Amino acid sequence: MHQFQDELRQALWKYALLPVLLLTVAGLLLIMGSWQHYVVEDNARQRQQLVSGIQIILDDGANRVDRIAEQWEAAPRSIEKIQHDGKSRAEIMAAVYPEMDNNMAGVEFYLLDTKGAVLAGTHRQLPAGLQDLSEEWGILQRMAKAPEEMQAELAGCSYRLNRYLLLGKALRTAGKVKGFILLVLPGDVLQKQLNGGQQNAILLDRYDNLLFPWNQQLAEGKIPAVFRHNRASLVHYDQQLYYSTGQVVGYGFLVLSVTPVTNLLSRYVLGAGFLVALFILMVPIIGVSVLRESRGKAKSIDELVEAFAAVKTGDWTHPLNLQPASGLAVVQEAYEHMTRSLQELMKKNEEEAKASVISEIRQLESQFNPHFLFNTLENIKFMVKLDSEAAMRMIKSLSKLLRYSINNTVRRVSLADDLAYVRGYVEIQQLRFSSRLDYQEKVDPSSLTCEIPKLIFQPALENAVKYGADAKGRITISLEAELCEDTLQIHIRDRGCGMDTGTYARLQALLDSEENDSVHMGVYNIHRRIRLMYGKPYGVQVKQREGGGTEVSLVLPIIREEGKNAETGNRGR
Amino acid sequence: MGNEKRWRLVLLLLVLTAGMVVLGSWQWLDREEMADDLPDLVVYSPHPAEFTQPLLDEFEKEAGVRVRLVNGGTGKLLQRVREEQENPQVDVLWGGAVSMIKPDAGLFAEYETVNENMMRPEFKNREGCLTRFTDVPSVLLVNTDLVGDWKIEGYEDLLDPRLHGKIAMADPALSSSSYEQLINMLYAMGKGNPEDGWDYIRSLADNLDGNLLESSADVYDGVARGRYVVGCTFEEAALTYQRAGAPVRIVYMKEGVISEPDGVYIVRNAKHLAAAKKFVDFITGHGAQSFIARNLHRRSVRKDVAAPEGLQEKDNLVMISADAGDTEEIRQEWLERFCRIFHGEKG
Repeated sequence: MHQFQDELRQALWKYALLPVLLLTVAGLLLIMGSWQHYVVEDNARQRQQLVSGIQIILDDGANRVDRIAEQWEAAPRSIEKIQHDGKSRAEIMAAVYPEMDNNMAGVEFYLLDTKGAVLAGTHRQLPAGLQDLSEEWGILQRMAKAPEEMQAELAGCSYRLNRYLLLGKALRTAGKVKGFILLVLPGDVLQKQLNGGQQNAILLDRYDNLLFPWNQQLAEGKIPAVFRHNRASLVHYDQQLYYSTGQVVGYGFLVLSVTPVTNLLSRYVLGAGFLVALFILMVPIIGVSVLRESRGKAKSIDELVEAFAAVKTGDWTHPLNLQPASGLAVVQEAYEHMTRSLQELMKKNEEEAKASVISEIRQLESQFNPHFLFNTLENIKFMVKLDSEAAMRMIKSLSKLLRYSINNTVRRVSLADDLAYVRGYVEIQQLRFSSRLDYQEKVDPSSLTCEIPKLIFQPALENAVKYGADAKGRITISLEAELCEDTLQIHIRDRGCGMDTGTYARLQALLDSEENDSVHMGVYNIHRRIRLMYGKPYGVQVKQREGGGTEVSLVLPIIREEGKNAETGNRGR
Repeated sequence: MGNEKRWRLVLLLLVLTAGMVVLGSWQWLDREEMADDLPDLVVYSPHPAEFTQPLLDEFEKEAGVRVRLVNGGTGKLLQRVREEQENPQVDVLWGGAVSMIKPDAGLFAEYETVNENMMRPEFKNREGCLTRFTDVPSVLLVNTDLVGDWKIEGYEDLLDPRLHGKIAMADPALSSSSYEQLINMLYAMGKGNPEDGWDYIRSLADNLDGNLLESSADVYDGVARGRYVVGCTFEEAALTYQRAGAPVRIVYMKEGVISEPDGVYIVRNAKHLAAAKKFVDFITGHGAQSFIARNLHRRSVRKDVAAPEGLQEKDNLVMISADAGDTEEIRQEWLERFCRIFHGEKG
């Protein structure tokens, strides 16, 4: 019964939830897309920019330094002579300058002796913050320790913001360190050239020292430990969130690209929260409205189904109250129209059936009259000549009988009353047949108050008179009324020759059938009347009596007339 | 039913897509990890960044150790070491006068640096766990523009009524250098007996005109800016201003100068003990000590490193030594006494 409701609900859920779900997923995808675009790609671009720039500078610088160191080793010179000997200086510098003809502005080079004093270079002095180099301090110490290797490191005072990227190598003559060549790349120059002044990409050495400051809070010279990895990750630092990626660029240097994402993330969280809240809000709203809607629609359907089920069991009066807005008003109208017209039709049918029964009963009642009347009149015709006195009595009896018979207002009478009139009839017949007719009555007194249709067994009597004569012409008729269980049985027996087998079979067949044939037999008419008035179990049975004769038994319901006389007893019904 | 299946499929696909996108983005976030096997060293230091940065920079490259520095006042850092002694978060406390650390010597591990035999005799690590690394004498700083022809050669001269209200001194309860000055005064003016020095303190308090500064920086800064004619401070700060070209001159008290060394202390149960030892060796080594003397305006504790340029060698000064004042009880007692005198006189 609720399958329709379930289906409806499912469909509503589907079409209401799917858009919300789609909206949510699309929103989340949008957030991810924008994250990818604005954070991940931007971050990678900045990192790449710095990485490639630094790599070029490091490779290029290392190549130049290497070439000068190689030349030095190939053609040993005394570095001290630079200071004093113009010719030597010219010779040396002629070899050095082409290599240092740098196309990158701001990069400085220096030739240093083993004590760290500047012999030649971009300026007479090392830049501020680098001046105190010696063989036991700073990059010189490391270049002296590993003369074969290129040294690259960050140096300078971070707190004064003049940091440098140093690249250098020892100059050797016959395996002995004679001096150093040092490239100095100022951090601010590198930052401007490689980074476009942006602060999101930073270069640091393996000890987390920065080449150029990252932002105001972190100008101390070291990157906070939480950033020290080259994994792409979200870093929480100082109540801010950063998206950080890193890439190693050689000499232990690491390029970090750090994008502050607190604002963006809070916007994302807001957006996602809004979406989720929308989702959470929509689901119950949709749920409730779906339930209500489906219940409303399904209620109409349920009522329809219920109404038709009631109709099926014969209840035509089941009301159908559909909701006016359900769009099923047409159905309701049609249903009401149908039940109403069906009810009318049935009522009409019933009335028609009743009318036909009544008319048939009338017809059956009236059928004996002409025969009887004719026979009696025939008898009177003879009696007038033979015994005018008896003729008078006959006429009297007949007129009494006729009055009784034609009184159509009374249809049912007590057995006693009916018997009284039937006796009148018998009297007429006895006058006709005189001693040849023997009529005996044996009536159970308790049955006398039973109600029977008027003149119900008169035709049977008439038949008995007509066909009940034995071979000697004597007519012996006995009428017996008894209460048998809950039926009133009236037996009319004769001692005649009986029916021949063909007639008897036809009569039996006629009694079994329900047909209302136009060719009537008197007995059948009684049977039909009883059936029409009382229904199936009642009626007429005809038996061939042993030793000749016929027995007609009327089986009637016991209906007690409540102490009223036959004339008026049924008037109220 | 077919419709039902399709709907389930669409839903499943949606969920799968969303899941994959989320998973994918995390996958993307989690890539190669940088190999990182450098040892760490955590250092607590009250020194300013100007002082620590060049030294730590060089140490990192020399030793291959990554240093994390925590900056703060000596008292606070010492308190942290004390609180963390069950589970030390720090390896080295770098800085803090030996006299101030001595009461808490138990917090620090014994270590004799490889440079011990190069130390000046007065800076030997007698306690085992208190390695000295610089020498910071107390001095007077005089503004040369304001002093005129007044003679300021020692503590005695601070009682000159003409200097009334023109002497800068910090509250010894707040500034360790000011406390050193207090000790110096008591010993110098008490001729070796601190109890006899309190008379001088009373007179000085009178001449301070109730004015005690909140930090040692207010002292040398005030003198350099000309707010005061003379200030009681320490040599490093005075030299920094002098070298920077401020109109100041350093005066070593003729009554006697007490020089209280700064130390470097390895915390007991330090997590990076090897790196901590390396640091102590480095900071007492010839390279670092020369660098400090040349650039950071402090006297070396080594025999083979000369005094910073422009400073008199200690041999030319009247040096005295204090054998009290470095226990917590005496410190508290003297501070209370100073406070009483100062506020009592004032009141």
